[in-house]
Parts: sequence; structure tokens; C-alpha cells
Amino acid sequence: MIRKMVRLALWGVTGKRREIIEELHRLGVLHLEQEGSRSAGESVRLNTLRLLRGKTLGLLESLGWDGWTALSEESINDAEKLLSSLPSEEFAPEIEKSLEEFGKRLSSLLDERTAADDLLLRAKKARDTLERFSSFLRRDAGPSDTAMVWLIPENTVQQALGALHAAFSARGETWEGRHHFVPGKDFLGVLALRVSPELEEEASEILSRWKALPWSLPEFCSGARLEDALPVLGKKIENLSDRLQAITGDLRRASAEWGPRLAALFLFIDARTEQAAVEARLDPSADTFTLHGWIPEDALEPTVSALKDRFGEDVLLQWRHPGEKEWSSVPTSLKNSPLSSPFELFLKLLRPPSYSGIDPTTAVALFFPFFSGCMIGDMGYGVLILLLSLKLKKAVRPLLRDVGSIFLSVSLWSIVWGAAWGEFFGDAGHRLFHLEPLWVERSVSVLPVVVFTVALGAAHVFFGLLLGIYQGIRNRHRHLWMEKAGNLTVLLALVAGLIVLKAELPRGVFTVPLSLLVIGLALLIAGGGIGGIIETLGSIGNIISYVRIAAIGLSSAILALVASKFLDVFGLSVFGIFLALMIHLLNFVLAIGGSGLHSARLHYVEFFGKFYSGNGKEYTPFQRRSGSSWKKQS
Amino acid sequence: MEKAIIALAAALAVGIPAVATAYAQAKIGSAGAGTVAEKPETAGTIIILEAIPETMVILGFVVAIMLILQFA
Repeated sequence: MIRKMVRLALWGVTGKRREIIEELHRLGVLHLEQEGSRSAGESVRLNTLRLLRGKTLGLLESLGWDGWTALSEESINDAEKLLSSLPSEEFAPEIEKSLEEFGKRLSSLLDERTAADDLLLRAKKARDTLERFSSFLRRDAGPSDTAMVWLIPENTVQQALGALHAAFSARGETWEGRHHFVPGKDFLGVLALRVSPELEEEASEILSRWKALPWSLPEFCSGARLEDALPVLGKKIENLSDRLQAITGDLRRASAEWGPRLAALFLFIDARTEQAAVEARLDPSADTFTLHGWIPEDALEPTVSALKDRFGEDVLLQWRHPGEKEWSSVPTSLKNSPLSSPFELFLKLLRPPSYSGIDPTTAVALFFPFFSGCMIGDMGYGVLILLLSLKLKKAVRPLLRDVGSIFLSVSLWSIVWGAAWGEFFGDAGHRLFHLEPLWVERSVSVLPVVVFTVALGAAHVFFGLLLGIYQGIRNRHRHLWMEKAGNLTVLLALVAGLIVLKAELPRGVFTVPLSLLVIGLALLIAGGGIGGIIETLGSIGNIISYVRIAAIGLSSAILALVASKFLDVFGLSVFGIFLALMIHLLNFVLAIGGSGLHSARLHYVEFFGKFYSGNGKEYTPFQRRSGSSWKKQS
Repeated sequence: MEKAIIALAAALAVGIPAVATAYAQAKIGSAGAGTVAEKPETAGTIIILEAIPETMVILGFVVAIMLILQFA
């Protein structure tokens, strides 16, 4: 149901503007509409608050804290009480000072972690490089030999080795066992050499000529020989890992301790920033100020009472209902019963309905689980979905609780349809308990199910068209209601024609569908012209589209039968049971995903297309953001 | 022989739209993945768009069922 809205105007004494705005923010029901530019003085305050808000958020992100959903209202209210006790001019510098101190401590910890991370990475890389040459470096050679490691392009390595070989031979030194090359990534290999002190300079020159780069140990190993560096590196890696673990522990403790406090502080500053943004648009030099916006009619009385009780004669309030010409600018707020409100989730994927439009939530709450349940149509799966829904209903996140409620309705209809089709994990119910279908076995009698789903589709589309007619008449859109009425009449004429033909009624009766067709076509052309006729053809396609309920249901039923067939083939063996369970698991996932997706699609495309006009304005009351919504909006 | 031809016709009635649906869904899927990467809030709409071409294969299924029930 779309809530009735009232235009509220508030005049207040300028000296009380901050308190009045704070109270409006606390009440959180007024959808503000504000014009005017910001005054310079107020903009300074606003910018200070925005900076503070940004700093707090930055600290939270540095802490890696993300417990918004678990943030309790109590901790937010406590922070608000504590900070509200400070005069508004004082809290900003106080908070800034505290944040700076905390930020410094945090940043030194984070810097230390980054430095340790960097060192650890370099130490590990050095160890990996050296490990590839450990046997080569340990091998006995001349006691005065020096070990060298070079990075060299793979395409020049052969030439470099040739030149080195020649240099070794020229000095009468053995070349065998003095070098070891390991190809690396990106055409860059690693070459290790053992050279005598006399050859060291010449070898370096040759390698540099062939575009090789000397590789050296990290600076924390300075002084160590390559041959002895591995234990040094191992020790360093161990120390660094311990230090990193300690820093991570410190950060985790800091996050657990300070994260919720900073988050509550962020929400407090955010609220103050929002209030300051409203205040900044008011003229501080005038004696009074004005605020106006939209408020749900059912929230008007408590709001007026609260404002009057607190500010008495300092505020003047006036309200009125919106005129017909204003409907397009009125925000849309939905209010539904607890049973159907979880289904408002489906409207969140679309723009909200216009204020003068129709809220289809109740219809979705009725039809969505019915269609989904019809597709799943298995008592066993229904029970599993029921258990899943009970688990989801206990979740912290409201979104998951809503999904849980939707699953609950779907599970109940799945059990009902499962009884109708006689399915309990496919034909396991029939095999174990001689379960018989209350209506038909859908995997055998396909046609009755197909006909039923088409009839269901016709009813759903007709209902959508009726809503379209109602909306057209209510909004005095002659073309709209005539087009929808024409569409409906033509469809009724086709249905009536089919009945006459199938039931072999006297030919005289045929005048009824024929007359309906003529009336329908006249209405269609008057309402929507040629486009109206095309829409009718689309509506026929829409009705046939409901066959998907039968098709998906049939595939689900057959897949469940396949699971039982595995038991027939492999017997009651572990393998047979495992395969049957896997097929049921696959079918269960497909049943939930497919039925939800296709039911949603039937609503969005086939049903909503007949009446829904998603050109409404979202109702965004002036209020504190909930903990979980800050990220999306900021 | 006649039954085999009916079965083939039914298979084609489902198979050809299935290929067409797969092609359309592949196109929508790749475009949708890009859209979701840019705007994660469009995920729901993209999932719905992804399901739209399935109408083709559903209609193919209806034709196949009718062929089998009428002639087989």
C-alpha cells in the first residue's frame, strides 16, 4: 500500500533552528525539500564536519573494521548522549584532537606492518633465489673462490657463458662446475658463478656486456657470504613473521575495541553533517526560517505533537494534502502488513511506483510463492526450504530476514504443490510410503499441467490489466484505461472463442466472442492506436510464457526421478546413494534458483508490464542513517 | 519411422530455440557482467534480463509437447 503523504511546512525562530533541525532529524519522518544556497559561515562548519566524517571513516577503513551490521543501537545512542552533552562548537575540535592522536598511533602500527611486510617479502624472495643454488654454492671449489649471482636475459645467456668459458680457459682455470643457470620468469634467468678473485672483475665486465644485472643479498644480510646467507635469511624470516603476527594481533584487538566506538562516532558526525547541510541553506540573518517537505499522513500527528511539545510557540506548522498536479513530485513510501512487507524486496530492483500508482507488493506476496511452489512442487524440497527459511529468519541482516520470510511462503506452497503432484524427493515418497498425487503426476500427465499454467497466466495477466484499468480511471488517463480495457476485452474474446470451439457450443453463441472482439478492437484503437493491437499480441505471448511453470516443474520432477533411477541401477550401495543425493542436491539448488528467478521474471515482465509505472520518487526521510547503509550512500 | 520423425521434430522444436536462447544469454551475460562490475546495484535487473530469452525455449517446449501429444 502506498502511504498517503502530506505537505508539511514549518516556520521557526532562527535562534532555535539548530535544535529544531536536530529534533526533525531525530523524528526521522520528514522528506525534506530544500532550496537556496549555502551561507558562508555555515559552509565552514559543514566542511569541518565533512572533514571529520571523512577522517573517522578513513580510520575505520585503516582498522579494517566492518561490523556495521552488528553495531547495536545502544552503542550508537550512548555515543550520541556523550557527545551531545558537549556544546556543538566544542565537540568538533575535541573529536579532531582525539582522532589525530588515535590516527598517529594507528598509522605508526600500520607503517611498521608495511615495513615488516616489505622486508619479509624481500627476505623470502632472496631465500627462494638462493635455495635454487644451495647445492651449487655448497659444492667444494677453490677456497678463495667468490660466489656471484647475476640476473641475465635468457637470450644472451649462451653468449655470456661462451665468453666466460673463454676467459676461464685463457687463465687456465677449469670451467666445469663453476656456473649454474636457472631459467626464470619473463625471459630473465638467474646465473650463479664461482670465480677466483683474479677473474672476478673480468667476469663482471663480461656479464655486464651481455646485459646481466648483479643480484645481491638484502641489506639486512650485509656482510654475509652468499654461501652462508641461507640460515641468516631463515632466522630473519622467522623474526619478521613473529613481529607481523604480533602487529596483526595488536591491530585486531584495536579493531575490536575501537571499531564500534569509531563507527558510533562516525554515525554521530554523519548525523550532525546532515543537519548542518540543512542549516547551511537557511538565511541566518532573518528572524525566522522555513522548512518544508513531505510526511506520511500516519506520522503527522506524533510529529506535530513532538515539535509543539518541545518548541511551543517557537514553531508554526501547517500542512495540506497534495494536489493532483503535485502527484509527480510526491515521494512514495510503502507500508504493508508484516506478512507481505518482505516482498517489497522485489520492488527495490525497480524505481518506486509513482505516488498515484499501485503498490503491487500484496499481489507479489500472493502470486510469487504460489508460482515458485508450483515449480518446485516437492514436499521433501519444501521441508528443506522451510528449514533454510527458519535459519535465515534468525539472521542479523534485515535483508536476509526478508529472504527468510519469502522462503517460508515458498516452502509452504512447495509442500502443498508437492502433495498435489504426489512428490517427496521425486518418487521416493511413492516408493517408501505409497504416496499418491492428490491431482496428477506431473511427469506423466503433462498436458493438464500445461493447460493449468496457461490458465494461471491468463488469470494473472487479466488481473494486471484490471489493475491497469483501475489506475487509468483513477488518474483520469483516458487513453491508458481504454487501451488496457481493449486489451482485456480482446483476450476475453479469444478465450470465449476457444471455449465455444472446444465445447462445441451452438454457432449462435459465437456472436458473444465476436462482439467482444469488435468492442475490444474499438477500445484498443481508441486508446493506443496500432500500438495497442501490437500490445495485445504481446499479451498473448505473455500468457503463453506462464507455461514455464509447467516446463521448469517438469524438468525438476524428472531430475528427481533420475536420482531414484541411480538407486535402481546401483542398488542401495554407497555409490548409488551418493549419486542420488548429488542429483537431489543439484535439483534442489536449481529448484530454488530457477523457480525464484522465473517467478520474479513473470512478475516483472508479464504482470508489472500491465500496470506498473515506476516513475515515483523514493521517500528518503531526514534521519540518521542505519549502520549498514552508510557505505552505499556516502 | 513416423514416430522417429515426430521425435526428431520435437527435438528440433526445443533444440533450435535452446541454441538461440544460449546465444542470447551469452551476449546478455557478458554485457551484464560488465554492467554489474560498474554498478553492482544493477545485479537484480541483470539477472532478470538474463532470464528473458528463455521464453524462446519455453515456447519451443510447448510446441514439442504439442507435437508429441498430438501425433505420437
